Amino acid sequence: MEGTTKKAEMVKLISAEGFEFVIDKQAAMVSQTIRNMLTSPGGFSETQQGQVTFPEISTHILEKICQYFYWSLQFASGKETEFHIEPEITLDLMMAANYLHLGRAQSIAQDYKLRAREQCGFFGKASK
Amino acid sequence: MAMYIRVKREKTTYFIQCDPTEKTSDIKQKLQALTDQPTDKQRLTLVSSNEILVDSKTLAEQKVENDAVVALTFRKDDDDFEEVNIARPEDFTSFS
Repeated sequence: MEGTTKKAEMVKLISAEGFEFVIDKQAAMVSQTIRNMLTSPGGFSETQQGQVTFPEISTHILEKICQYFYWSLQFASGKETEFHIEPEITLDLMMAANYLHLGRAQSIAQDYKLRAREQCGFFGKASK
Repeated sequence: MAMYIRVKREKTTYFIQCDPTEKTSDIKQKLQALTDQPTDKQRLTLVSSNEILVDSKTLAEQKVENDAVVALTFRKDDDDFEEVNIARPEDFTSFS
């Protein structure tokens, strides 16, 4: 089954530099923080507009986060590939993952960081 | 979800869920819902090879794989398509 790609099923995430990422709501909901914003009744203006601005998250990191959301959905449906993280962004990604309550992304980034220190490795496995 | 592609134009990226067996025209249908631009006014270019995607061919036939970056351009009033324009964040870094 493919996504229907209706506007109402999509949300827009906006980075520090004002770049926009239009992603499936289902993907965005991988983040507990975004899920709370989009589902809490009345509390956030994000609920009505279907868009969330992250003034603290740079474009490069936000795109990686969006890729992570989709990787996570694929992983959950049984397609077990590796999630690649460039060593130079691991720290920023960890901080963003912490803010967005992405436990697994955080630990993958952490793995990368440790491994990069040990052997300058570029590939890691998902950890629970 | 089989796969997704990243469709980029200016400062916007659309993450589109799709299947390798879908045709370029199917992707344009999905983009029509998001951009309000009719399918015949859209052009998709695979960024890695600079190939313009053909409506009647499938994504698999055109080597469009999971996580691929595809540039979206629109037909202008004079009937030509605009140039591929994907903004880079480096050009918008705030001074802080």
